[in-house]
Amino acid sequence: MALHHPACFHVPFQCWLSRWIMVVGLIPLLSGCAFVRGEVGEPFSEERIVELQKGKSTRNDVAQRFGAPDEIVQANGYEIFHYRRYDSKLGWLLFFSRANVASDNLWVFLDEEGIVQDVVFGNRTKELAFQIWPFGE
Amino acid sequence: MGKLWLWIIGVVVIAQGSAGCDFRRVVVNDPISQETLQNLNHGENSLTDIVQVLGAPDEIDAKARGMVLRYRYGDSKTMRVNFGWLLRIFLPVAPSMNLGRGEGVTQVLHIAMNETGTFDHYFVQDPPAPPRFWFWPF
Repeated sequence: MALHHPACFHVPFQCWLSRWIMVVGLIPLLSGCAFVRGEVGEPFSEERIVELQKGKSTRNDVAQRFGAPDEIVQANGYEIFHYRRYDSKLGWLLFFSRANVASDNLWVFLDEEGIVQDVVFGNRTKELAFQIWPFGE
Repeated sequence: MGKLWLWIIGVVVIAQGSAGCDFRRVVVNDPISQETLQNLNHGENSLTDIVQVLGAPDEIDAKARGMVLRYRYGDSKTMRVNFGWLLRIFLPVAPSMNLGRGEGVTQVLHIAMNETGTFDHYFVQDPPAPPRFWFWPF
């Protein structure tokens, strides 16, 4: 037990006691915390998205880069390939926890001939943060 | 004993005393801001304009003439208090006697595009009142 620190020299018992209180106080704090992350799907490669050219790339080019879509939507004369990715980050300390969930969505619009007409990509997971405090925003 | 140690002891006592309750929150996506929608004009803004402001939609659906983009936000809070924890003081076992409650809100933004691929109209509810933390379920 390090009781020879100058600050502890005159009041060794108080110093010893206060250190033990701190240790006893910190142990439950450390044992009650967790950071958990859950991901569904692979992150999208922005390089591959840029490679898709409007008016040139075909349905096969899209499938070669991103695989089979999670969903195909028919709307406004387009066949729209939808690719999704989910990410969640949970911070937990004792009795407080907060989980933030966000998704990335890639939409590829194909015309009747299977040529890419538009590409829409949104990356929300990039700014997803671990947070513990559940109050406020 | 210094103020720092009193503060540490206070935190430890409160932490131990509150061990019978918890506060949990799940947030999905960012809140939808109506201010960002003010600059959308009927028949003018394209899909690209909308995506630059709002990002990629969560859903796209067909409508009679055109299509609909949907953006979703959700926030849920749950709180639980274990009153059995108090019996630890008197009993060797701590029976579980929980009261808990969860509240959640969702907000959906619906943007309709017409058949020419330009903005037609949008619907969004007023921002919902944020959910509360409260344990009383009755």
